[in-house]
Amino acid sequence: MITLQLNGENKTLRAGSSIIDAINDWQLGEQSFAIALNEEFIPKSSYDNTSLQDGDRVEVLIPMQGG
Amino acid sequence: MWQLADKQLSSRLLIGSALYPSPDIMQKAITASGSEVVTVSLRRQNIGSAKGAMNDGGHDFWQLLQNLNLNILPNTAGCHSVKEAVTTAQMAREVFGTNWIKLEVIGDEYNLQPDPFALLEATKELISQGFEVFPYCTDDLVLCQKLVEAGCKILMPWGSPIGTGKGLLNPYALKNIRERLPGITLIVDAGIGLPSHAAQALEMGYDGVLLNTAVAQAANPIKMAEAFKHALLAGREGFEAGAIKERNLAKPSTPTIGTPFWHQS
Repeated sequence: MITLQLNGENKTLRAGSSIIDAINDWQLGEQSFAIALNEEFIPKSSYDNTSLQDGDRVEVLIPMQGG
Repeated sequence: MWQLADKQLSSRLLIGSALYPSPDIMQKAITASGSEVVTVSLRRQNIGSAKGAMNDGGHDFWQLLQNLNLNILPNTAGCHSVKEAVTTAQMAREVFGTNWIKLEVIGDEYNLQPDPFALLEATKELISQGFEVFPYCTDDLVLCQKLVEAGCKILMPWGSPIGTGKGLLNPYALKNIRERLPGITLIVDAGIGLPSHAAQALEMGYDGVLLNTAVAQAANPIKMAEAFKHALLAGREGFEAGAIKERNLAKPSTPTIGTPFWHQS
C-alpha cells in the first residue's frame, strides 16, 4: 500500500495504482473535475499512464462559484 | 454588439457567480443583468461527500450555470504564485472547456492587490500555452503596457480593491490607460459598488465592467442587476454621444439676446 495526500487528507491505495485507479477508488464518478499531481496539472488523457507514488499530493478540483 | 476576444456580445457586463443568497437568486440576478459572461472558479472537491451540495458549488452548480448557456470566464482566484496560477488555469481549461482565463495573482492579503511581477510572468507563460488571458491588474500604466507587449488583447484594471464597493478610486489613471492603449479591450474589474460607478467607467470609453459583490450582496440582487444593466447602457451611449469639455467659466444656457430691459445695466 501507498499513502498519499488527497486534497490535504491522507488516503491509502494499492501500490502501483494509476490515477484512473484512484478515481475509481475515490468514486469521483462523472462529475466535472480536474487533477493536479504534486502541483502539476495532469490532463485526462494521461490518467491511465500516470502512476501514483507514496507521498504524492493529489488535488481534485471542481467548479465553484467565483467572482 | 461588441467584440470580447473571439465572441460578439450585446451586454458589456461581466458578472460573478459568488456570494448570492441562494442559487435561485444567482440564476435570476444573472439573467436580469443581461450579462453574457459569468466568472467561475475551481476549488477542492470534498471527497467522500455526495455530489457537491448546491451552496458549495460542484456538480449541481455547474449544471445550473450550463443551463444559462452563457460564456464562462474561469478565474485563478486565491493564487499567490506563478506556478499556482498556471496550474489552476490549465485545470480550468479542461473543466470548463474554454481557453479564457481571468488571471489573478494576489500580492497582498489586506487589499488583495495583484502582484504585478508574478502577473506578467504568468501571463507570458499562459499566452505561450494558447490561453486568452484576461489579467486582473492594477491601474499602473506601465504594467498595462507590459501586459500588452506580452500579447494581451484584454486588460482588466481594478477600480478599487475587490469587494470594497469604493468605485473608481483613480479616474486619472484609468483614463490614461484608455487614452494610451486605444486598441485594447479594457474592462474595469473589482471595486464597483454602484451602478453610477459602472456608468462612469463606460463614459470614459471602457469596453465593459466585471463585478460580483455589488449585485450579489445588494438587498435586492435581482433589482440591482437590472440597475447595472441600465447603467451600462447609459454609460456607453454617453461615451458614444461625445461629452462636452469640462470648463471653469460659467456660460448661460438660456439665450441672452432679447433679455428684458430690467436685466440690462
